[in-house]
Amino acid sequence: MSDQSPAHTPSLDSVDADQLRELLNIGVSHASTKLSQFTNHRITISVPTVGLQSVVHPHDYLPNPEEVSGAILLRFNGALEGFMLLIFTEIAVRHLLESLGGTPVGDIRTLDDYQRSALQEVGNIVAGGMLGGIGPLLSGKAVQSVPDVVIDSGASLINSIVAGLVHAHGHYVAIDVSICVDAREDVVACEGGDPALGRLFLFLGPDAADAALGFTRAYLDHAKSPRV
Amino acid sequence: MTRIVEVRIAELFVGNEEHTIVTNGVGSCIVVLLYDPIMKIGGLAHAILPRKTEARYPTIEFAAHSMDAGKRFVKFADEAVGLLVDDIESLGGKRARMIAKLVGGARMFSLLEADKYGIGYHNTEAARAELARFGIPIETEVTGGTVGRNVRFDLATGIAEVITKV
Repeated sequence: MSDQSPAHTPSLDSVDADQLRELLNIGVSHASTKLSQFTNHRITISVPTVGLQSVVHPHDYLPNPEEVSGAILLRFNGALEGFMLLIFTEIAVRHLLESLGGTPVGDIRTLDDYQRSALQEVGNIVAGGMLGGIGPLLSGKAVQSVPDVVIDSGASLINSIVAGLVHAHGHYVAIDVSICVDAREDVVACEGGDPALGRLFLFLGPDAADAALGFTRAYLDHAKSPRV
Repeated sequence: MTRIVEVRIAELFVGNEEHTIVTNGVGSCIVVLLYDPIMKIGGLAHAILPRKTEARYPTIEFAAHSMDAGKRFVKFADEAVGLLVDDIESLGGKRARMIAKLVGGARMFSLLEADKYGIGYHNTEAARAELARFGIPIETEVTGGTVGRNVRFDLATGIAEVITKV
């Protein structure tokens, strides 16, 4: 949305939310597969939850927002405009980096350039997987930015992102997915037992959410149309 | 016995020497602390954006979470100063005696920022300007940088502790 655009009146009914959930479910499924391949660990994800939000408390997003966490933020541009945030607990950051680097990782507040670069690559893999998954449903090409990696308390990370979104959009649509690393074989997703070690959020402004809904409606209409 | 009051993002609380106000996860937001050292009355506001008059969405209200008694919503740094002054005066404080502290205004994510300065910088500037307009001196500030902060404000002493996690 440009600075001159009139304020968008946000709305998101249950049908819209279901539609966005299905769209993003395809995306995050691809992303988790890519991340599993990249890390050589079993990565499972929850079914996305979708909500229209403004200011939220970090506890609404993270169970322990005061703990130091690792955040990877990417911006999407093009057919899908918004931000993707990956946020991992300290244990998960160490787990991922030790898997990728093969050496023990100490305090995540003192990551070196290589380790930060590895986290950026995790962001690239997940974002690329997501865009690859939902790409066929978008009428144009979406591209991702270079990932921004920040280590800090989860509350500071979430509050800063919320401030940026409220500044830009007033309200925004948040799509929230829990990520489990090395979940048991019989656990399909994080729900129902294992604590999530990471979260994936997709934040869309109202206009971007409308655009995504438009793409999926067009796709569904096309799929339902009689073949001749 | 000291009563601990947690102020969350976009909230404000004013109390007396019985209170210690804490707020956590201060990134690009600005935390404004005002204190009357004679009456030991003070308050803390955790504002998220700079100026109401310049905001794209100045009128959107918050409904995301319920709020405890004695607190109220505050979105902008400039309105935070006026609300704090009003609430402190309503408890017997005097504007002429008030001193201010500022915490926050960091630049956590370069990707989020609309310009080269960032929301954190603008938040800090807005708070400074509004405090100057009210004639309230800034005693100290811990602002800018790239790290998040937690704040603990003891209204019995006026001391504010600033804690970082990195």
